[in-house]
Amino acid sequence: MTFRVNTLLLHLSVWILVLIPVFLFCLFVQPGSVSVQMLLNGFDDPILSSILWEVRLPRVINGLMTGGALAVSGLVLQLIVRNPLAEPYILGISSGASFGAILPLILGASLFSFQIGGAFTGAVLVMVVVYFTGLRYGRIDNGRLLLGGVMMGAFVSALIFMSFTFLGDGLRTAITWLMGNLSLGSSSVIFTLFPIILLIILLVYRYSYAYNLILTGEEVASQVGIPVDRIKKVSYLYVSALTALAVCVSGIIGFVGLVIPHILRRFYGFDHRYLIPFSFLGGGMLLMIADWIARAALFPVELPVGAITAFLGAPFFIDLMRKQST
Amino acid sequence: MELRIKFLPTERDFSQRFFIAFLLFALALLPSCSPKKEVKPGITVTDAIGHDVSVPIRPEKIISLAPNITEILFAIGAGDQIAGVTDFCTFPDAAKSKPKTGGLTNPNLEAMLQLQPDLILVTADGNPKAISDRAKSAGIPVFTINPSSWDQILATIQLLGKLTGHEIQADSVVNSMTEKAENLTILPVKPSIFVLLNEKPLISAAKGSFLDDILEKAGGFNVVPSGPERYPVINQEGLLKMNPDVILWPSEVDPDPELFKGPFKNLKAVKSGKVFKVNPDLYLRPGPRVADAVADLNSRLQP
Repeated sequence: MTFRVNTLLLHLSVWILVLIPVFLFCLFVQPGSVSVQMLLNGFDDPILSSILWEVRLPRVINGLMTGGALAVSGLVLQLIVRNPLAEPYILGISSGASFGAILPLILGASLFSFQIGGAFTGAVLVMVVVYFTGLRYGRIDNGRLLLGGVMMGAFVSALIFMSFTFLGDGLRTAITWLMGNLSLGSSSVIFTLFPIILLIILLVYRYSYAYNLILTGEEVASQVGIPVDRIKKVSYLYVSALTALAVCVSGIIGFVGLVIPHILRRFYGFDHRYLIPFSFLGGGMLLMIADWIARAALFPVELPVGAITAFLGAPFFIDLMRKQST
Repeated sequence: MELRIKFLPTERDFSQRFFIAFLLFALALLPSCSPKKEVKPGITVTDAIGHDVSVPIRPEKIISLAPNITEILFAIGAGDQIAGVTDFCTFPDAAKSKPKTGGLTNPNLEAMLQLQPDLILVTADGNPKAISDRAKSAGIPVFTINPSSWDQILATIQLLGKLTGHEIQADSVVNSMTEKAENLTILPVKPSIFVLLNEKPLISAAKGSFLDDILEKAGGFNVVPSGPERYPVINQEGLLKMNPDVILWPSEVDPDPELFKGPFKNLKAVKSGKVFKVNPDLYLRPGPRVADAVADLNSRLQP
């Protein structure tokens, strides 16, 4: 598909036209709980307005931002390490965040803000270590970065499982974190992080044309004047920050970062000027729907959303691959 | 290519042969390693998971793999027969000085076998089945209990009385529990109660857990309906919709103050100040002290 601004805007408006009803549906419909009508009439009732504005709205927005951030991270990461299996979690960042979140529990601090702070610190620490492992002669070596990430992930996972021995009561919280849950973040945290995540994605979008050239070959790209190495380094930092922000609120939600970019490439080819915005919207929608299922299926009991993304995404992706190859 | 004719075994062949011979020797010794099963006179009782367990008469070296089992044994006067307890067995004080065998989900089999027990008592929910199976194959009787209601707690106490030879004491423990649970003030209205076991995510006890019976006996009722899990993760919106009169928080530490500042500030229980921090050991151990939990809750529920 050749790139035209008009085509981009046209597709963007179609995506947003789909997004709005999905968003409203996830916000208002909840089988087993209060009905849409009660919500619309009940703006004065403190309980009903709490349900709508303080529980559901932050949660749906969290789905959009976390899903979007993970999908864009996956997309960019697959490009910079030149590996179709790359996803945000393969660089060990999520494990770092999880350990950072679990550590306060071991030390006996039950305050949730400690967990968010710990998660972000853990993610950043792992990110820095992996970054320096990946450098070779001052440049990012794709293979080293990937292996360094996998190794750090394994190391931190080992710390997590060892720490389970000391957890006691915190074990359930830790496990919930490892399976992903969009209800963990409070509304103030989510409304603070949402603009930051959007800003980082805009910064990533500035490189979309450069990404297209890098994809044709790093040497070719440098010959036409693209600062390949700098872009790779900066992109790695952006992607790590996106993952850290997503994980620190909602725990580990796998698969979105892997499946969404691959599905979208089937429709938009390899042009990142399309792929970046639509990965954000696609990832966001997938996670919004998955989270809706997680909370609606057995209301008031919740299912782990990370399991649902993989349950929905994997068969769809396999089906798509089979259709393409015939 | 070098052609080698083997007349004499080389040094390596010797060491290999020696090694194989050693392995065979060790293998032959293995059966004698397993503990010898002494046939003691005993009774055969069916446990909570349907196994017929042959228990020696008046076992003298019991290992208890759960705090509630330890509490029951001490309450019925079988404390002297306990050889080992878990790291979590903190009540009564005498339990703390017993040898430890590790945690609930990760008991140390070796530490258990060193105590040479003649009976191991486990719970169906809390302890891994693999450990029971391995202890059984080492020739030690393993008896599983699974008290998941008030009546089952009483029945379990009587059963353990029978196993340890303290039937009379067990009966008197059961009688005093029943008395405590009947000697309560009747409440004008049945308050709805939500048991908060964990804050992030919200975890509660659904209908069908023994906690449910404690709430009922004390004069209230559980707001969480029965589901696939006894201790499910609850949707925040679900808690708002159920809007309980009372929230129970069985823990030694206060709940996170942030929890009741957000959407939950409008809950009836929070507005009327009926979020009760209660002793987790009374409420969460299905043993003799649940009767105290019932009495405690009943007095808190008075208007």
